[in-house]
Amino acid sequence: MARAKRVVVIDHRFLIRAGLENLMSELREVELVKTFEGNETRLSEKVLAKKPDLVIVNPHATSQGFVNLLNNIDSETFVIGLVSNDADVSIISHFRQTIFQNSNKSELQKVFRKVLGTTGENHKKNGILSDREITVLKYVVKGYTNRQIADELFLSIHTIMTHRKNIIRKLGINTVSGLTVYALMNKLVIIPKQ
Amino acid sequence: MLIEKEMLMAEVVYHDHNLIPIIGRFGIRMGYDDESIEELCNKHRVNIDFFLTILNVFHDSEYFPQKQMQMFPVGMLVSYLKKAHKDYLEDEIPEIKNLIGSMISECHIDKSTYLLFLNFFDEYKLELENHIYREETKVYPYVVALEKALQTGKADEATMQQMNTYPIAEYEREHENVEEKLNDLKNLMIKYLPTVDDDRLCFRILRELFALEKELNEHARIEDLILVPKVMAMEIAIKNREK
Ligand SMILES: [Fe+2]
Ligand SMILES: [Fe+2]
Repeated sequence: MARAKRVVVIDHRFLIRAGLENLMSELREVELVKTFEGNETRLSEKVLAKKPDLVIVNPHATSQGFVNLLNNIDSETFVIGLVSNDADVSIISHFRQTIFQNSNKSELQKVFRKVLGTTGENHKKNGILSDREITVLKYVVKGYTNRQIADELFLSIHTIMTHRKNIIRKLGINTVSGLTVYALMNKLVIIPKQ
Repeated sequence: MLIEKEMLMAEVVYHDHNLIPIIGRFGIRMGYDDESIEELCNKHRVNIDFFLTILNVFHDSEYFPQKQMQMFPVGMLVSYLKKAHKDYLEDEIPEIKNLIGSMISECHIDKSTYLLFLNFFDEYKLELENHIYREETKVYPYVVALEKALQTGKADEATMQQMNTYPIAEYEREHENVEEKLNDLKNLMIKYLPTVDDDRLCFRILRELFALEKELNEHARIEDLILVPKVMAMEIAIKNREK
């Protein structure tokens, strides 16, 4: 299953945090994993521990300076600055994207959709297996090991493992018994007569 | 919210009603009146630190119990965990199974898919039972024996042997499998099970599965965060003494 995009908010004002939380809850496949006030000890560590796709930070909320925080965040994570309308360029220039405190709802939604739609590499449609994946799934359900499947299909073990990972990701089902139920429900394999 | 002993029990429950069954496991039943946690614990002879630790772990998934809060005897923890097991096996699991049964009997078209689902549930149930059985027959007695060995100053041979062959760190790894199956059950139901006439029934099953999942996760956290470190410390203490 494609995991929901994870969002972290850092702002010292409760109402702002609550408002953003509300907005996020209206977006599909987006999850606000944590809000911070900005004065937490070891803030960057705590933020990074959440493995966010997006961090929305008010530069004035962080006590040890947001630059420090930005330096610790890797480039895969998108950072949006939440700034006031008269914010100085020296602050704005730190961010690829900014939102303003008086932005209206549809502006904010547009920014979030754009940003969250472009971060992360997973654009594939879920739930639909390719022919190859279905073949691999059938063998998995029959109890074949990766090695055996690789031999049957003249593929490397590595390729089989990739297929398996994709199957699990697309279906959101992890165990062999769960996959078996799925395969039987969808008549990919036939129930043996009892 | 951090739950503290001065709080009124009723107030805590208003905040998080999921705690009611957990409070009940300590013998404190509803009808809390205006009594504080401290008063109720004293009345029911419940160790307050222990009670607060368990409640906080359940209430806040980010709560991490402090060292000084872990001074209670390990036997207390074990008897709580056993009570929880009993609830899972005797109430919650059979209830879900019943609901799935009703879903199947109300289905008038092709029952085979639902029977598969039931089968998978049985498989999950068996795995959970096995896990719990292993805990109650292997792990917990060992834990209690360790504590006794520390108090009396001598460890018997069986305890020493288990310490060397199956230390507590091994056991810690077993929780994941059970969680994965439950997650698959939920997903199959949400994404792939054909719709039945009675939506409410499906909804109830799902709600029970979510509730069970949450309970079991917190239960495993108690075992992993409180029981395991405590036992590891005892293992080290005994090893050092034997030298
Ligand atoms: Fe347990
Ligand atoms: Fe367990």
